[in-house]
Amino acid sequence: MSIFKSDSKRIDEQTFETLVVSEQKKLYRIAYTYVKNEQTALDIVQETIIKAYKAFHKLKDISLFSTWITRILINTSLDYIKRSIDVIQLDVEWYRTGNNEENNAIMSMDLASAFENLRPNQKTILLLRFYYGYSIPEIAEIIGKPEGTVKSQLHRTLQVLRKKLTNGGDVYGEAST
Amino acid sequence: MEKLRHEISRMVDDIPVPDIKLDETVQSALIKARKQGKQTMFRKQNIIASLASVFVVAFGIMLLQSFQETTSGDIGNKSILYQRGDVGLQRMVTEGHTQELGLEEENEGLTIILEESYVDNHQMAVSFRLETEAAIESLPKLTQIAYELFVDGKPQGEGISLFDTKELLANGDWFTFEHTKEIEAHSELMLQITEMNGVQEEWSFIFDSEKQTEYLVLKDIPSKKDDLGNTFDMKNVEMTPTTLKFIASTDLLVDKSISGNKTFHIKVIGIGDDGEMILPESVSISSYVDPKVDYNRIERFYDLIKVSRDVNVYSYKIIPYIVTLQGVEVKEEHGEGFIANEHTTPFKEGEIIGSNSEFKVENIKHEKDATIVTYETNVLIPNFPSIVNKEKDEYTYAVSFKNNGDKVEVTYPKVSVNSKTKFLLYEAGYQVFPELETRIDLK
Repeated sequence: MSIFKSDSKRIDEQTFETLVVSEQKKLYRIAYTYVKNEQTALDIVQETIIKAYKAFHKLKDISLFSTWITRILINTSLDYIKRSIDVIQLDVEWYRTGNNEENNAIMSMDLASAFENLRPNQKTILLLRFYYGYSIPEIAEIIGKPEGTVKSQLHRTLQVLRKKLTNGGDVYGEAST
Repeated sequence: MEKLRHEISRMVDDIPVPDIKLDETVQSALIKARKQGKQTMFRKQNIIASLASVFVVAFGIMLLQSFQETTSGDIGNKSILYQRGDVGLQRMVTEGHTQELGLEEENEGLTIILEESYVDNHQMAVSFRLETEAAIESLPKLTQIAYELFVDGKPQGEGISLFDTKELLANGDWFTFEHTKEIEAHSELMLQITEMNGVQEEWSFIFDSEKQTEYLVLKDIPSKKDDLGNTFDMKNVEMTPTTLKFIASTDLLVDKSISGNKTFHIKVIGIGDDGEMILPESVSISSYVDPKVDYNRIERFYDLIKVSRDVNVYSYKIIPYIVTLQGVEVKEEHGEGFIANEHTTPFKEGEIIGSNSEFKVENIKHEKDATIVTYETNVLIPNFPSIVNKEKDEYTYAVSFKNNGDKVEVTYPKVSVNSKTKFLLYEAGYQVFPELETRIDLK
């Protein structure tokens, strides 16, 4: 019998805390990109940690912790946005203006402003692709959608972003795997 | 595309982080998550393998937390083993049974210092610190260490552990091992760190085990049986300075006249010299079969019990029982759960506690390190009310008791009382088996 300890609840808890602490800033920043409010972002981080703690025993490969907890955070953020009337209004409002060429013409936004006005799902795809650097198959796994859907959503999001930023002079390329 | 990647990364990384608030939020979330884990003590067994284990471990953890607040002094502040260890190991540190090592090795600017070690027949623990002149920003957030252990030259296996780098540099950490019976009183131990964060070097440390050899074993404990055919068998009782361990096999005829959430438990009580009955702070129970009392009239339970010995007693009472909790079943994200009804009453003398009036508070006394409550009660299982302040998220559990006629004096860690302090008792009924109660004396 090996002298090395097998997994135990206590070790799991220590590991969980260690991993969470190492990810906490990134989790906060991602939550903040969705809700643009300090306290709400902190609340989302808290809810994410509680959900993750409950499900930690199901995580078989600890090297996937970052991806796994990011997925929980994104789902928690999206759930929060669904519940939040204010944010939904902002989203709908943008969609109206987003399809309005006149409004587009008078807008000159930097990336942060353009990003802020994207739909939550579009933000998710951009963050996963360009902040985390995940591949299309990895993003498909994280958000639970087919790869083809992810690719087309990314393509569409980049088109929208490009349109938004044209007046500012920034032009970005096509989606790629 | 690279430009977009760069700008999105900059956009996210430039978001200012409220560090203090975030630290507080994360720590608060971890506490809440653990506290909610307490509800898992009522979970059905098709979700969690060991309800009995979770029940007792949850109480053990909370007891440990509340007790640590009153006991950690200078030794506790300095010793990594005290900070990290279970209550049995903490006692070894306090009583001076750990070994100072002070061994230091440096490779590639990374210095490892082994500080203390402790070995008995249940566990081995070695604390260490990491020192480096490199800026913390240049180090990975998690430090990965691969290591090997040799006992008298024989390899025992390899391990890999992850540590939070910031925490490791600030406070140090520890390696733990079990199945240590083959280590002799003065074996030569060699701990060899073979890789740290990708740096493949050897940080080798050789030291004498200085093992605590007290190892008491009880075999052939008579089986207990009552007239109804209920039986309780204890086997493989082993005790080291830090840990009492045994296996129990129990057959019970279940009283189904009370409905509710029924589960099987084993109570372990230490017997002090002066009649004080000690409720160990940390008891873990691994059930090899479902402790949820199901549909069969005769139920069989098979458990491995480990008690961390925070008090140096050699006699214990072991009591099997079935508890039936009243409450509501709830659907949870990962299955079904059960939330027991709580009964709270103000923290003051004269109060009647429990939905069945199980306890009357006769007297409350505050001493230097303890709060002592005298109850009038006739309960057969010493599951006493806890003292809670939900506003501060404080839960305090009984650590010992003493019978005095129809009164019982129950000792809690010192409680700071305000208007929100309450007694808490879950609505529960007990099926007890007095003839199955087993006493063990290891000295």
